[in-house]
Amino acid sequence: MKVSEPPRLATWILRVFSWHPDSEAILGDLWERYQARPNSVWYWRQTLIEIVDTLMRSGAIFRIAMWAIAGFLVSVCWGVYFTYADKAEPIPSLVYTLALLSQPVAGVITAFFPDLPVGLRVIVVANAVTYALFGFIVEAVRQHYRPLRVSR
Amino acid sequence: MVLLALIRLGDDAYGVPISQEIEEHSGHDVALGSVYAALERLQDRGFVSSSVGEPTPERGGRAKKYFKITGKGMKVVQETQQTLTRLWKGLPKLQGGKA
Repeated sequence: MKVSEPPRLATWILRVFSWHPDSEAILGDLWERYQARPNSVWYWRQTLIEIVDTLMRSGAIFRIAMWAIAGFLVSVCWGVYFTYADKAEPIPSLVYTLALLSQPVAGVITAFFPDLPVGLRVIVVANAVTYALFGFIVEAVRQHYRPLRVSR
Repeated sequence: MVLLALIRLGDDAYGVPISQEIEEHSGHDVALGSVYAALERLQDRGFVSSSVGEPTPERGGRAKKYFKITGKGMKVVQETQQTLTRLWKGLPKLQGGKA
């Protein structure tokens, strides 16, 4: 029997980010159905539905949203600080480093593309997305190290 | 719907046939994850029990998880059917009759 392997990336995403206690059974079912109907679009669709469903049901979506809000606020606060900072005085290097570290996208732009004209709005959005991504990774790690639920 | 699919499938009720049964009768594509989410809730309420089968190569070496309706689940299905029948009786318009 010829075995059709479903998209590897989708399977990897499911393995890592699906925190469902039956995720192995779900992967097996998806694999089995893929053998009967090898359709990558269907497989990706099922993967994304499962990830979104897991995020919603575990409440992780709200925690990730909190991370995004934190990233947004950090950027806004730095924006306010740099707007109202005394232009005559040089900004202390510690403050500058802290600002770049807490806004990784701004840090990368400053380090590698210093001439790129990027506005505060772009930095604020990029920082919110970066923090959300970080929150997503934290959630993935947290869920994987959580004690398994015992089946009844 | 999930409980009815379990009754129809009997001992061969696991993710794939359950989702196919629902798809066949509803005419809609079903997400396997959603089926498992529903089964998990039903299991928490004691309507469904589960057991894990042996891993098979046609599933990439992964085991099947079989589900079975419990006595409590069967009672709920019967009660729901009776409730729905009573509600339908009060809706002659939807049954093709005159209001």
